[in-house]
Amino acid sequence: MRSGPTQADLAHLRIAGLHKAFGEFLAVDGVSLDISAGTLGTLLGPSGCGKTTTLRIVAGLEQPDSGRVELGGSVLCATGSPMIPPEGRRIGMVFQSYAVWPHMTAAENVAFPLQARKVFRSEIAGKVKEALRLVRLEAHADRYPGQLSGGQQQRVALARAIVFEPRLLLLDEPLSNLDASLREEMRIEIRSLQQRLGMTTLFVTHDQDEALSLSDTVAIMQRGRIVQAGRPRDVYERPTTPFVARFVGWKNFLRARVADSATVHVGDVPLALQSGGLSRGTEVDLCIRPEELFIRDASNGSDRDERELAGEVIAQLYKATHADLEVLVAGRMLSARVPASAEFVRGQPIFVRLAPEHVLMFPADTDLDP
Amino acid sequence: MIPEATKVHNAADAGAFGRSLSDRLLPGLTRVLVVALVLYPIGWLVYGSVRSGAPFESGTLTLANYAKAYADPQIGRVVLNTIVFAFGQACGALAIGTTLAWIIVRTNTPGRRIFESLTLVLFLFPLIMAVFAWTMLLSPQRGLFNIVLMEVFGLASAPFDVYTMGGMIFVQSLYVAPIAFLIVAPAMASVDGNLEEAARMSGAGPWMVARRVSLPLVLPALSSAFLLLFIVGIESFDVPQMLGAQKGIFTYPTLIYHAIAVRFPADYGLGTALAMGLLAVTAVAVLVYRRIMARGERFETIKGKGFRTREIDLGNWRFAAAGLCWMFFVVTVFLPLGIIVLGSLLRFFGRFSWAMFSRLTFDNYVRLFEHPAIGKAIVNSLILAVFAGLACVLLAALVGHLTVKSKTVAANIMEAVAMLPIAFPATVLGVGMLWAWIVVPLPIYGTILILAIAYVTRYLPLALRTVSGGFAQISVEMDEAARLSGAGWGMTLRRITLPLLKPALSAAWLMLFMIFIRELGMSVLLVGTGNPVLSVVMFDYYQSGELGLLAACSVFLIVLILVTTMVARRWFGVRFSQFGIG
Repeated sequence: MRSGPTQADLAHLRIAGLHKAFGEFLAVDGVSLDISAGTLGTLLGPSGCGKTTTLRIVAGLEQPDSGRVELGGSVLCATGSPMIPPEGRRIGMVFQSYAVWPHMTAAENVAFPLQARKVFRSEIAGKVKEALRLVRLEAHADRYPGQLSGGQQQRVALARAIVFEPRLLLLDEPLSNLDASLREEMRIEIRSLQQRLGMTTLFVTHDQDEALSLSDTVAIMQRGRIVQAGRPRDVYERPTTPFVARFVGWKNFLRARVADSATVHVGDVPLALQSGGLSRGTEVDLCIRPEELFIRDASNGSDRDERELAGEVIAQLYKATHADLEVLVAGRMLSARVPASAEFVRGQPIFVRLAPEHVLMFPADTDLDP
Repeated sequence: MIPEATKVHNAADAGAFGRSLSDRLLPGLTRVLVVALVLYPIGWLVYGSVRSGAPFESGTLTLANYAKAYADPQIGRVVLNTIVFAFGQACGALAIGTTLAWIIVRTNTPGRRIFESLTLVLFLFPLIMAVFAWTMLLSPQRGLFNIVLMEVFGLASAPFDVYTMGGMIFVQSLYVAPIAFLIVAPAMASVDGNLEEAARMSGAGPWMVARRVSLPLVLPALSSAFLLLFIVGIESFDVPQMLGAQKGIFTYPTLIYHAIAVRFPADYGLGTALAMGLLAVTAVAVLVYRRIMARGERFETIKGKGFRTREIDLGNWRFAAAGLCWMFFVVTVFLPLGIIVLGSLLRFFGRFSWAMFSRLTFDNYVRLFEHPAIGKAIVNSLILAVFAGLACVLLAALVGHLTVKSKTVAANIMEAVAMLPIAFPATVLGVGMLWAWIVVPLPIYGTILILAIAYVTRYLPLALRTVSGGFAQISVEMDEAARLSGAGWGMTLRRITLPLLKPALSAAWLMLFMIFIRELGMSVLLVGTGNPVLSVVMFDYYQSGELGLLAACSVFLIVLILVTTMVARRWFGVRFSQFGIG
């Protein structure tokens, strides 16, 4: 809680082989994840992917069917041994709904974990004040949650979660109930607080922007499994499955067929593209991000380049800093980012350029469903 | 596999993290208590029904009781009476309650707030008093209405007789109508005005909107209100006993009462076998009711943003609606209160005449408080209403805490057991309690403890329903946040759950206070000779024609109820909409 992390507070979170089923539904299907002491790890995925269940297992609010959770070398739960209940884990958590108790003031909310842990009364006031100062709420200590804004309640929840110097901080979609500008602000605040206190943190979100900007490690979940984990930049630049690609912003997908090692066919149209070692005739999906899809007007009768495909403009959506252009290419809708000043009209013929260094290629029919 | 004992719900029992004794003991104690309260008297009821002789005599196992009860040709007549009564009063109460709800919730009628309060006054109006007042208004001999009508129209005989099936249905309908109101009004209030406006925009006229949209949306509430009222009617004791049984019109509960408490010598076996039949009927009715309720929940409208209920502008008709409401409340509340106050100030309440007002006296009050039983009865009733109410609320809170958010089999079973008494008519549970405690050598039978046990048992479902409403408003995350803060089961209950539940708990307590202070159906069977309660004393005054004393006693009860209600609203901010009716 004081400035800078102390060595004793550093706690490495190790999750190994977690399974959890609700009836027939496999919510968590073999999740393993390591989060180094003092870093922030994120579970990113669509709703129902098992990220929240994983978080709740770490918290002790759910019992896994099998698997193991270790924190700073001590076992929190493991197949075959008794589980440590949530109150015995020294883990702080910020809930999606904040769960700030409405019958207690901000200060009373923050004092509760200290009282529950039988901290000496003489120490409580100081710690509460310090925690509220950290979230910049010292002026609102005596307000009830009903008198606080959503963002302020969020800060109370955060102060309550860190006041007892937990070994681990859990954040369950803490920003999803805030409006856009506040979300940005809290995002920065959470990250700086986490780094200042050097607190190991597990963060759950479905927002890729949030995940990529906040995390030291990000793990993408799909149907109860982690499909890719790594540094945010690596995951963003080099997704290993089409699902991950689509989830981190590779929105455009085109179906193609390998013709030879340097050419694929999109429909009947040949396109110059290295296909690695894939054999001729293999169906592939080409993924490309909107900002890396280059559009050129084709109405002046110029010829198609071998790296281009022909298409037509469907709609242009003005977005102030840029515009999103929806184009139809080879029967698929693609989205491209163009300068805000660009002016296309509906039905206008265009060429889209697929630069090889910006295209990901996956064997087709791989699983895209969440 | 992970051992059962380490399941999250039971984590508090694991005992490894310094939790207090209460964490380990309370859940088990609660389970045992609920099961004992509910199943013990019912077990005795079943046993008593197949046993010859009274509880305190030796007996043998026999089916003779059933033969006697159901071979009697009279039983058909009684069943028919019960059905006619239950159906009639349910229709009447539903019509009244729905009309009131519509006027108060959906229209711009002036004075809606007052009408809503008056509906709740009606809800709190003890039936013993209501019946008493209506005998003074509609009795063929001295009923005020009858006398006025005979005078005005020159009739030779009284046009109304309250001691008939019609009279029973009429009086009961008026005073159970608030139950329909309490179920239907929230349903009407939750109809999204946009749904109706969407129908208007689709080209439907006001009638079509009402028929195709508004009515179907409140239909589940209407049908559940009707069924609940029907069950209330079947179980009803006060009105059928005080109006019908006097003139030989028996319904099922009054027939049971007759077998055990009026007949001489009492026939316990007969009464118990009859009680088993009534229990079977109400059990089926309650099952059907819960089915319909469960289906109704699926109809609940999904509320979009900007939800609001559209207020219907009645134009000048709104004054007619207000007039109708005022007339209704004058007839159901003010007139009965007036005649009771008047009766309490007259030495002898005979035929109404203006000359009465020159003979007003406080004699009845003086006599009442000189009456040896009354002081003790008041104290007993207050103790029961306050403390049995408190006990029932606390038990409901414990059961709720253990069941509302837990989906384990044990939790489901406990909840089901705790809800069982909803199908126990007062008379039936009274008979069961009689069997269960009469031979037990503990100071329970004949004391007010047996009443306390009976009250807590029968009204546990109602308390649980009200308290659950409170639990539903507390998100699970509130509890979970406490657990992660390091608090165990006990500390979470004490510091988080109970304080958040306080409004629901106070509402439940107030409701139980009002019910217990006037409970008659069980009390009249279980009350000890030296240990009277207020309702039974009033009932005895009624039976023996001590109308002056009864009126004075009623005035006292009114004052008591008013004071308690005001205190509860003032200090605890209790709102009646929290009552878990149905």
